[in-house]
Amino acid sequence: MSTSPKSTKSRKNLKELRILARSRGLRGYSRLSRGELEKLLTRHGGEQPAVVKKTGRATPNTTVATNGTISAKTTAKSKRPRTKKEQKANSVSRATTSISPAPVLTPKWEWITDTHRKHVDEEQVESAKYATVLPGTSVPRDDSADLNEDIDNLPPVSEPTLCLLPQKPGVLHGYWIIPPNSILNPLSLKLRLGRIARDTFEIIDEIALPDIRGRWYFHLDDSADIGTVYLQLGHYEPGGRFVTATRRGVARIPRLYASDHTDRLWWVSEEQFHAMYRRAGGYVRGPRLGWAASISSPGSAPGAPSSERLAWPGNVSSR
Amino acid sequence: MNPKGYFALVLHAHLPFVRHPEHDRFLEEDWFFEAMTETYLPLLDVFEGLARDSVHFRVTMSLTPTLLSMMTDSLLQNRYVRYLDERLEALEGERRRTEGNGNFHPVVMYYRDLLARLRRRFVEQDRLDVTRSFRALMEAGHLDILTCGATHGYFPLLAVNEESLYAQLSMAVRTHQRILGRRPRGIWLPECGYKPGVDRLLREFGIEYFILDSHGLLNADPRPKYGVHRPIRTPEGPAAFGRDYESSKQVWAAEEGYPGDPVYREFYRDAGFDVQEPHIQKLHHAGIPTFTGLKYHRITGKTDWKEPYHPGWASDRAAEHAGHFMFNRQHQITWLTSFFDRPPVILAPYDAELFGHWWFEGPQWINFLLRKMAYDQEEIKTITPSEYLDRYSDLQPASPPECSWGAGGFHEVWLNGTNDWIYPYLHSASEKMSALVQRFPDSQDRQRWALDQAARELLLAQSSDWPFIMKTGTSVEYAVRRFKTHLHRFHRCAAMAEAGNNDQPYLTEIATRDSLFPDMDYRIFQKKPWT
Repeated sequence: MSTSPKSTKSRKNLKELRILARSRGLRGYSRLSRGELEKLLTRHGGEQPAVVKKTGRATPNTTVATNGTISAKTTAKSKRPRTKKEQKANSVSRATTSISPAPVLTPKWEWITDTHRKHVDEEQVESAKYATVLPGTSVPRDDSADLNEDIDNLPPVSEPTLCLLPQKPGVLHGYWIIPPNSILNPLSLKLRLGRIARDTFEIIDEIALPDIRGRWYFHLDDSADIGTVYLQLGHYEPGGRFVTATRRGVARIPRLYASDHTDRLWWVSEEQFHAMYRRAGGYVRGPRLGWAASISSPGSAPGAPSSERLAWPGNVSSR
Repeated sequence: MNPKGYFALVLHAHLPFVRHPEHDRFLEEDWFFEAMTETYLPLLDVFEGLARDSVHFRVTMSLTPTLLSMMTDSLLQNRYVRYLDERLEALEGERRRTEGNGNFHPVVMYYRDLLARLRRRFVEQDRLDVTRSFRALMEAGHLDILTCGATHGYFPLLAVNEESLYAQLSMAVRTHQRILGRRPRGIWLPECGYKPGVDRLLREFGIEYFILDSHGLLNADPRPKYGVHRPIRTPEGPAAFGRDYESSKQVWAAEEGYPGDPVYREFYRDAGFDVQEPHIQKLHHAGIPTFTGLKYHRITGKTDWKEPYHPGWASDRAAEHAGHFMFNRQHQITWLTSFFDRPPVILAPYDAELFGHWWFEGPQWINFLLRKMAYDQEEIKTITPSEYLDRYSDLQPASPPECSWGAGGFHEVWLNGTNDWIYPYLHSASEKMSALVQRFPDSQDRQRWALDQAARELLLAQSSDWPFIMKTGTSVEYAVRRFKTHLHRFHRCAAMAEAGNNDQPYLTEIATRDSLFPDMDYRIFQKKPWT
């Protein structure tokens, strides 16, 4: 960010900075030195502009970070030193600005500023498109134009169904439906997740069918390149042979890591590829390059999928 | 000028189809009106200003078929004029209320001038249809317009029934051509959702390129020699461009990125909630305070105390941020060209509504950025993906992995405990629709009417917006209702077609409500392009 703390530094003593910190709702500021407090204030809102002043064209100021990333800070053109009279006039103007009340004060906006801004990411930005009322507000609907459509009773799926969908590396979602009038006995049925390895079906996970219709999240090791996996629904014969009862679900697990292959005609050195990969938000885990960065967590190496992330409320899960 | 590299700004403009003629007012229609006021019209102003000043600039925008349908819908066009008029009337009350208040009166006057100007341009210049202006910019070569899935269906999770992907693409290409007069060269895959095999479908529709998130290229096989800074050639032919992470982060991240600057306008503080006066209460919906778009405060900081918004300061900051952004891109290009043997491209895709609706000053930032790029430096030139492909067609062949641009990079935003219940219904309805196409390959008259409407309803149910909203928690009730309603209507229409007995009044009514895609042909739900 280009907000400069310089003017705050030159204008405010420790006491004033503490008052400012309190007004901004910050905590733990009383133990901080003047310098630390200035940094904290800069991080949490920067200075408040004193008067309308054109900052002029930004002058880029290059810095090279320790990781070699070049970044730039823009600083406004240096301003001429102010006379005492001007400073006084500005401080009056600032005071006027800072104590002017909002037209009509809203009782509490804490939830909206802090809660929202802490978790800002693309999803929030995108969901702002759909914001029309405050969260939690119930909007009465005029049902007079309804067509008496019984939308809560959608026609049930009438065919035996089995589907496997990848959710993300390491997690697959399966759903199944056995119509109530089916000849299949749900008590004897099992769900098998597996893959073909050396011409045999290698079982990765197997569960007894909890219900005639349902969904399940299968958790696998996201570091292994498992490839295509198959979901089967069926039962074991007394001899141990598995008989599939519905069409199988097939899914390919999304790849989390960079390929190990390099094209001879489009050869790229390991070093250059690493540099590009990391600069694009990827990370290195052992010998592998992974990408799981979202804009809100740049370059951070994720651990193994945590149960909190995977166990969504209201769902069955294999963990 | 021989630039060292290129910068491709890509704006994805999309809203789900929300149109409720059965109600005189409908709250969720405000999504469209707000985006028109804060994003689409201001962006047009910026682009037209640049063109008028003969500034060299290239921008790529996706205008989704649902958005194009709303922009050309006369009911919504007239309701948008009403929306502006109501706000202008409220602002008259605000002008009187804030008279003498040095902090807020200027902001009120700023909004009054802005909305009056937008109304004038919408009515007089655009003649209520902004697609004309987008089309003019496209024809002048400044804008490359991409298509998208017909209703923004999320391809990787709909691919269980390939017919659904054909239908989404068929209707998209048709709508693009009908409204913009050209077949699209590129596509914004809904949510950048890609699954191997989608490239084949794109080729069948003559689509030359699409855009993926960074890992869509970085994790491609074999390794891409140029990372995300040159497109790759997918196995079936279309090119895939990759998102540049660095430039995205600087703009997307609301806290550490530009939009979180304390001087910029605060999104959540709105006169609709702050001001308890009759002229503002008139804008409420059924007595419930709503966002009005009249926001008088700046972000200020992480506090519930918000200071008055100052458009001039915010504009200056947008200029600074544009300079900062360009400077970093210059350094990025310098670094890349130190080991590239071909000119790199930095492709920066954003949700269009980020600019203006979320980040109010965003369109100004784009204006400053494009002007600075044209005049203040020579290393980078703006370009569209189409132009890049025309100049540099020697692309590395590679296979992108399954991916999306959603949080986490895969499908969990659209497939999790809040929304996974929709998929059995969606998949089974798609199967049913395909079966109907096979059963009635050449339906006519009344049966055709029922089948066409069934196809419309299914496409509407497939929109990725519904599971997205279910996940994010904003307007969940509406999303669930819309999904169920379209599924219900689909089944009723399908039943009518099967029985050969239409419920005429019902069909008329839902065809009036879900009126998009007038050139619908239910045979788009089959495994071949139907254009």
